[in-house]
Amino acid sequence: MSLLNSAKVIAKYFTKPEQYILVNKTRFNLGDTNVSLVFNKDLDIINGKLADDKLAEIGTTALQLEKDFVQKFPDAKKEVKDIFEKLDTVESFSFRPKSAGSMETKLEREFIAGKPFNSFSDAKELVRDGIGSRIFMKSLPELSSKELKKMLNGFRLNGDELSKQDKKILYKCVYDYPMSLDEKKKGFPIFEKFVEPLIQKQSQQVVDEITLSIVKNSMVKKGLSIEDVRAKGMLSDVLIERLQKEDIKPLEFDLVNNYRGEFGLPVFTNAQLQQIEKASGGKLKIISRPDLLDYDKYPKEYIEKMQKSIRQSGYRTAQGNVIHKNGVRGEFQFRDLFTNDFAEYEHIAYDLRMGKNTLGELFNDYKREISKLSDNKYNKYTQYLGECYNYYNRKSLGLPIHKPKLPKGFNKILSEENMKNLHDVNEKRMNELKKNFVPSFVQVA
Amino acid sequence: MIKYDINKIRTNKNINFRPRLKMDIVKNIENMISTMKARVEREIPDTGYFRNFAENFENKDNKIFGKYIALSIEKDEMIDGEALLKISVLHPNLPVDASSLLVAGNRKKILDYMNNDKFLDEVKNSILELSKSLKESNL
Repeated sequence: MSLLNSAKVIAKYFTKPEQYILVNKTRFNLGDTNVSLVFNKDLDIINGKLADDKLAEIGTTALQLEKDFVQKFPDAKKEVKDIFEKLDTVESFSFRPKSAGSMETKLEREFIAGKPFNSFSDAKELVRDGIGSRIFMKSLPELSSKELKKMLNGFRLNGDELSKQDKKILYKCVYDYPMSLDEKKKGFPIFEKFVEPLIQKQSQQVVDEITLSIVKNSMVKKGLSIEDVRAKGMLSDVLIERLQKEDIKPLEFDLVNNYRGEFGLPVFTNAQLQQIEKASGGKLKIISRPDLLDYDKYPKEYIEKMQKSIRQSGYRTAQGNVIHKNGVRGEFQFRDLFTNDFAEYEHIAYDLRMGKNTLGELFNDYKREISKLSDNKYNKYTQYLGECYNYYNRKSLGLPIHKPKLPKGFNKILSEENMKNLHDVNEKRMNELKKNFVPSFVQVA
Repeated sequence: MIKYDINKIRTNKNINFRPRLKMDIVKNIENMISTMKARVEREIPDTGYFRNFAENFENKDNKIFGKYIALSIEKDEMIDGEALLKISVLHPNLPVDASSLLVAGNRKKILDYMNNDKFLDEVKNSILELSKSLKESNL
């Protein structure tokens, strides 16, 4: 080890055009995956940043992990396609092995937070989403006023007809009319119930496949029998029949998140999440059912602190952590394409606010405007972005919509339209740069 | 030929037994089950809406990695008149819990399940499993 240390060469490794990580080139070239790092705040933080030698070790491990994930990528991708490709409500997919650059950022954060980093497998555990799979569900056709009227007339809340006042608020929610905060708070839970059939139409096939894969996995790995499934009421009769007749692929899920913003609709309904939870025997951790926090399961002070998966930015996706057949950890994200397109550039405001600066010069004017915002104004801006999420989401469900306008007092450069424009131009530029780009080392010390 | 003395082999040292719960906690679990049975009988209708409900107690047994233990009934969002009976353990220091489904079905199915002789053991074992999973989750 001491010999290695004395010969250690730290180099910049360009993972993408204009983006590099520091790597211990000596260790990397030797193919040595041994790593054991201990964080010492006094020694390791220099000028507010992690010291280069530690960063280089983290970078080396990230690069080695990338190699491992790239190797396992084709099988994992096939596994996902085998499960979801046959569904007619699925529009398309995108897949990626996690990049070394992104892993380095994550590992650095975890390391500074004091998470153990004593081996290659520790690092693998910290990364968790080695393979990312996005499953895009088709958008629903725009609802006609006749269809909407029929839905409104037939709607019952927990079996009861709505009061005149609730009907009025629901009408405002459905047609996206301006409302006071109080009206929104009162109307949104009713609106969410109203929209559930549309969400189910969009995502029920996907939820059924997840459900079946979870049960199949318990049967294959834990010896669960069909009799157990029936006795415990884990699946509906229809799904039990499918489980018996079809070639269901097992898949191990260990967490489901159903992120959404305030007054934002979820990707999966509460009923769908419950279906998944039942299939897992209640074992799958599901972070996302604020509706379950309204009864006294535990004393109030604990319930109030439990996670609700409400994202201030309006970020909206259903995601699950999985372990692929070949052992690699992956993350599934389920959403529609409208929301996905917006999510591609929505996060830049948050990233800049958090001090992440991976954006090129093209974004300089935008960056300047973001850093000028007071906390109060930034919150207002985030609210605007949340409304944009809701706009795209409603569009994908075929609901009536009005495009949100950038509030008065903000520079036009911060508008969603401008963010999209900057993102598109930047993507085009990056694609040009990538044409002749080969990941490579540049020695620095 | 090697001869084994079966009495020597079957000791706590050689076999990894599940930890036994203290009498106090077993009593708490029994009380919780009994109260829940009465509530299931009373609060789950044949059809229509009903509110979720739960019973819990504070855990004092240091073998269990958990602050509170709860039995809960959650309305089945898809099937009218049905519910999920779950056992949960709340992390000792964090607002995070682990749960296990005991049974899902209508009032009769849930009550039959709870009245089964093996039910108390299933609840005790589930609590130990959930406690272990919370401890091993490194949260």
